[in-house]
Amino acid sequence: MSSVHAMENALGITVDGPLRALRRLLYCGEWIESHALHVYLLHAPDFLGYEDAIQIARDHPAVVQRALQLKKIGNEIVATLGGREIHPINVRVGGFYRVPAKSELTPLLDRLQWARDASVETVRWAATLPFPEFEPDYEFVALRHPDEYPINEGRVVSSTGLDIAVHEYEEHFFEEHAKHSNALRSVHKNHGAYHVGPLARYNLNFDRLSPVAQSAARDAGLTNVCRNPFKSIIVRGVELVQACDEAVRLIQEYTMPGQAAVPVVPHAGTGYGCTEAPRGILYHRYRLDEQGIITEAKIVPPTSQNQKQIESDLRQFVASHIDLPDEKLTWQCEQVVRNYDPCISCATHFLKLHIERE
Amino acid sequence: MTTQATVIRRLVIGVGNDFRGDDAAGLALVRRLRGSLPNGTVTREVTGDAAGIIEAWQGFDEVVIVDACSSGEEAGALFRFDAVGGAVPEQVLRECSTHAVGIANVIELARTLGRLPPTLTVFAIEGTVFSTGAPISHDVSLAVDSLAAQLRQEWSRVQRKRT
Repeated sequence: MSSVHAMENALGITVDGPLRALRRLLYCGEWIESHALHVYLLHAPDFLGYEDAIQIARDHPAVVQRALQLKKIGNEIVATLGGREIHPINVRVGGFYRVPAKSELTPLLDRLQWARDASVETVRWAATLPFPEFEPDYEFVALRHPDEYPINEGRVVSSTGLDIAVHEYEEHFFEEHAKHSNALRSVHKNHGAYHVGPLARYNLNFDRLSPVAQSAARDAGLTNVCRNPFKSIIVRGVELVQACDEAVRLIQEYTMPGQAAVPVVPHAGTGYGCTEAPRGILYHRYRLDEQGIITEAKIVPPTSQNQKQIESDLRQFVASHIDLPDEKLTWQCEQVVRNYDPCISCATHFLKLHIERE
Repeated sequence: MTTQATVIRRLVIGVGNDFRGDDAAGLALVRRLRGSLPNGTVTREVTGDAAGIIEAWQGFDEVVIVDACSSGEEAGALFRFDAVGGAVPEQVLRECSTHAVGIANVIELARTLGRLPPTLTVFAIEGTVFSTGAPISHDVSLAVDSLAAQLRQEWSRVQRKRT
């Protein structure tokens, strides 16, 4: 979605009305499928002392069934709008290749209303998990929109007062290559590491959550600020509520547009796009030639934006938990990484920790 | 007995990544099969997280999963497992997914929840090239053709018996 937004920005196209709503609905589906998977099948085993979701399923089958049902409704939204469940193919510059009739979306409503209730239950359940004491002094970075919880668009804001348009992103953030790593790490100029994703969105946009999502958060004991990254499992639950609630509203208000896409005339230009992927802000920039062919591209995915922060969390966490037995420390360090749901954490153990105590 | 009553509801799932050489073997297989599928047989491609397939295979009599593997055998070697009868050996379908749950884990999850289909056969094709942007290797491409032919034959034989 960031890519089409960047292309539309380059070409001076505005996609609004029902087409914009459909894109927001598609993203709700992505959030639901991603958050349901991460909360229940990848993150929850960490807190419950299980190796993986298979062990949870043995002792708590209803919990895993709920996860699969939630994930299924997310998959159905993405498949209906995107053409397939993962990596949608129906989105194009200017809109979609095909838009659904309202009658194709309304069958999802009943199950989305169930999913909203199940998500409220998810928040309640996640809040009962045991959380390590750990509250780094993060700089949170997320999008902020005048009247929506950020998904498709907004200004890039931070908890230290940054407030910029998307096209100014590269004036404030750059990627560095550290000697010890083969991954690019994004840095906020003159600030350092920063945190993107559910926790950042929540902390910078609590007032934009729907009443039902705010209420679920408060009932779970959260205030409008949450700095403990382990509690991102609760916040993902709150965002599940938000995404389901938003999806219900979008479908109820939907009217099929007369055209699937606004006309696109290729020309030279540079465009910028930034959306809130489930794991955080995803930035794209493209330069186009006269034929509209991309001659230069820059993509900064959420995992790159969180990379430096993950390393910083690990240093801080290890320093304050060095007395734990090696095995437990390794496990909790895996959790520190998994809090961010990055593209590097396997569903099972992945971390090799070499501890040298002096 | 009518022909309608004997149609087997069969789902063929191809797993893989189009941009990682031989990892696309499962996807290539279902694409080879399309256009010549028996009545009642449908295909599905899984290019990312596989957890959704537990819901997707509900209602099917028979499910076939085709994935690539890297076990150390020769390129193009074919493994076949009856996943209802027991777990798929970890050394064949190694799990190291990203923010996803892989096939072997999904099968075990379904077994734990009592949600395996009546028949679940897993085919794994040994790959040799998994680098970014690489095409499928010649050996694996031949193995995909061979498996597609084998499956068509098996299904045709089963269908003849039932009718």
